[in-house]
Amino acid sequence: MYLVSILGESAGVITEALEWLRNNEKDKHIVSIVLYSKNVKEEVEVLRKVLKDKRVKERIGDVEMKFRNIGIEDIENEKDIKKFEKTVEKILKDIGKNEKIVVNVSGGRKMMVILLMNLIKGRNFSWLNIISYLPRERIAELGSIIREKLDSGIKLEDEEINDYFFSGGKYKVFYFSR
Amino acid sequence: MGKLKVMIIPVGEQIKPLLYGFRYFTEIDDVILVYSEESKIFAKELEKRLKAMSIVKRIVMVECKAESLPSFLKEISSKIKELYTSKNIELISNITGGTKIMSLSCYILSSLFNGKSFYIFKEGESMKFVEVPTINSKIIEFLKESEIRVRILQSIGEDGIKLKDLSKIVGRSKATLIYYLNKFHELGLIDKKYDKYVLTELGKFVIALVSE
Repeated sequence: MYLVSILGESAGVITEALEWLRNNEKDKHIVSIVLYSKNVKEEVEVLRKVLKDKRVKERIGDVEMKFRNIGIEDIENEKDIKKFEKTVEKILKDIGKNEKIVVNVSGGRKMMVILLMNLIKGRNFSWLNIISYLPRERIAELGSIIREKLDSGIKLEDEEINDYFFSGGKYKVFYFSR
Repeated sequence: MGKLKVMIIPVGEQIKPLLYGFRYFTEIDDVILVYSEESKIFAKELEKRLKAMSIVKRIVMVECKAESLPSFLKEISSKIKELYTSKNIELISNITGGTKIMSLSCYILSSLFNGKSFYIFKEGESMKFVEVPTINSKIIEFLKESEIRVRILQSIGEDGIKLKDLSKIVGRSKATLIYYLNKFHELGLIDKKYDKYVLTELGKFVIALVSE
């Protein structure tokens, strides 16, 4: 099973989706593809680093992670749209026609999500949206602490991992499949 | 009787792409304009223009908070229930405007009502129509085929239920119930947690939508 996500401002939407799929889907072999634009590069680094943490690994299981740079700063004009579409088309080609794809619509710009959904037509896909009930202020506050600690190689507290990457357990998933 | 064609439009700060959507869908019966406090002024302007164009029979204005996907779905689905009790509708969504929550919610609704969703992209000075593939869910049709299906789902409740208790409440054999429960699980409406059946987030929303 492939989980295709767009990374926005919070890496939590990826780790939470992975944890949820691990606990709720029969197919335990998950390949997670994370699309990102240049303006969220810092968050990509956060995600890359935290995925090495034993505590995170235990929660999301053994996942094959693939990061794909869309190569744009943000999605603002026709050129950006074309570049985004080209990246997604390439990814879908690599995935293969009969594989099950879960589209994680929680992160990224609305336009990116819509373009992704449009390109996925004709495929065997499901739709997943993370709803976090942890106050946004807490996530924003933690974001800078976590970035700083990871940059300096300081070990994150359990609570920081639990809150930032798993919304302190206060998240729900809206999952919609064919 | 044919289906009532309803177009639902979340309204943001641009109304041109919202009007443009009517080039692709004609004979729309009702239009539901969904807006927030911030986009109210734009929704009113759109309403005025649609009235002047006389292309729809009725315009329904719905102000929503759109704080989260479940809360927005709850708000908008109660409005749809109120407007179209037991009517057969085709729900078309123009998901170009409004916030991401609004657009995704309308997309879900169109999927449930076997409708279509589309987005209008601005390409330089022109516009481009893009249809977004919906899930084409059979959930609503399946539930509405027989009253017992809705009753079973309702009986699961917020806290979940054990099979033997469900059997007592709905007065059906465990074997019959297992058939329906498996079907509900296939449709993503319920999950099994230990010895209890529980509603998923989709299940909670759907039950609110189909309950009388």
